[in-house]
Amino acid sequence: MPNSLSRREFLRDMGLIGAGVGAAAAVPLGAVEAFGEDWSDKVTMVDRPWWVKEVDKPTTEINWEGMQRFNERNTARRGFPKYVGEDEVKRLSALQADNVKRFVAENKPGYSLRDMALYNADSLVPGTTFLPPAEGILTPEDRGVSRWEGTPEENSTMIRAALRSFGAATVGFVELYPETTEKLIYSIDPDGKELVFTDDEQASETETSRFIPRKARWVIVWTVQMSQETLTRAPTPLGAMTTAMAYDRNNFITHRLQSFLKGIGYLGLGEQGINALGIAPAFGVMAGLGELGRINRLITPEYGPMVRVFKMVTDLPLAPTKPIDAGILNFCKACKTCAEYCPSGALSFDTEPTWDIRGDWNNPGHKAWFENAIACRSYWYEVGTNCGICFSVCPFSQKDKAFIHQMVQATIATTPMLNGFFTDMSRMSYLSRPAGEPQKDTEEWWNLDLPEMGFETSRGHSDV
Amino acid sequence: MLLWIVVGLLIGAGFVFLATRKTLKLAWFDWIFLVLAVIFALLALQNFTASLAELEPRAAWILLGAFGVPALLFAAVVVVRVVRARLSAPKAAA
Repeated sequence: MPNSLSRREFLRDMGLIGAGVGAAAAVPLGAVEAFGEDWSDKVTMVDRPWWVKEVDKPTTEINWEGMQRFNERNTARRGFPKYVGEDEVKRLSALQADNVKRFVAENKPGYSLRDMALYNADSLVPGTTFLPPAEGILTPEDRGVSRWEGTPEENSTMIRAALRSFGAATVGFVELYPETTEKLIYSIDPDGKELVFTDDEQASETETSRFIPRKARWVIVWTVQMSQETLTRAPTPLGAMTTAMAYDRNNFITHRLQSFLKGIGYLGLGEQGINALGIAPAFGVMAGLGELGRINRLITPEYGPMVRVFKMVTDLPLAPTKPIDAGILNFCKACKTCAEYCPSGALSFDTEPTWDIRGDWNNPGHKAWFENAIACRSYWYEVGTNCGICFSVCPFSQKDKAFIHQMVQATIATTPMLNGFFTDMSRMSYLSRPAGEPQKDTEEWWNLDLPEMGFETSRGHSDV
Repeated sequence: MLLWIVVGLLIGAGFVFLATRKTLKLAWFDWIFLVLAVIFALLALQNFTASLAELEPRAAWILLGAFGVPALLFAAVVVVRVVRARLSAPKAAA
């Protein structure tokens, strides 16, 4: 470097640097390829930050021998009357009706007429089904060609691209093995039909059973984003509308995926309804979409818990994706924010996850922070929604614009030493209201200029 | 993106300016303090503006303080040292 620089030299050098930067920014995609990037290298999983490490075993400890296929009707969602009794259900239903009516009349924040109308707005999208549509889809036979053939890696990449275009966020794949992952498929579906693995060539459904051919050995698992800005208004109907929207959107996605698979000559066996077919967080963990957190739900590196998880069984050979370790489960040991803010006291305060379940609504065979799902669900009746406060206060729920989020995520994936400090900082920075209340103003929401559906679709993706 | 290119150019220009001033003698650790001040200032600026964009004003101000105060402290050390050096330097002969 010269000891002195004239004004003319300085301006000349700055101009050269500026021209160089401008030229670099203007390099088209083709030129990048010319520099050596091979786009076919991108298989199965997206490019994730370096701190999201792929691992052979998930961070959740699993005892496959001690695990049985679970009856979905034992979940609190379906089995609630069994656990609390019909009289309690009647009492809670009456309480819900009274509360909601009173809240609307009082114009309680988040329960105004427009909030309620938004929450109850119906998309009229039909629900999902186990079997793909029987008619209306052109198959390879109809087109006079043989079915699609590709390597498992190519197929995984293709399915991920298709799902993204349908509206899914992250996508992973799990292979079914009778002694392990097959146990994550429910024994009984929400409507009471038995899910049976058979050696039949085709899937079928009767009045009492759904038959999954063993040749359908792969599960496609995907997340659908929810709006963080909206769910921060939990537990109000305004906040809960983003959950309802995610399920609505998934109806569309599932129909499209089933049709797509049929169109290329393969089976796509979907969820008969909400929470059908298999254990969503478990498949999310096995597919590497996230880790199991203290809320006993999937927490993803990209969106935290601000997702719903869905799945479909297929006979299209797929390359499985590996579980991940991004330090999320470890962070949950120190954090406990969700447990402290849970208005029903349903979440565990234990530092370590445990093998011991809290009730028959939990599936034994893995180490987790099992929740008191009955207390949780009872609270749902009180507020007239499915709450969501634990999702909204989770430190992983924050958006990703500020660089601090990447710094913290990279640190917690490397060392748990600062987890307590980060928990305190997160609460101080992002939580301002007591437990049981929306963390942000509900009226303000109506004046925001949010992106479509309330979230950034480019988040977590590189080719935008 | 363009904003950060401009910021990068301005910082680069600033360092070139400091490095080429004959009347300004900086010790090696002054340069480290200056680099740290710039890094913290950039973190303060990015986290502040991005947190506001995230609709999190409380977090924005906290992060501005958390990164901005160290930036000011590092810069202040260099400024104080330079001013002291100037004040204690013998006047050039007329």
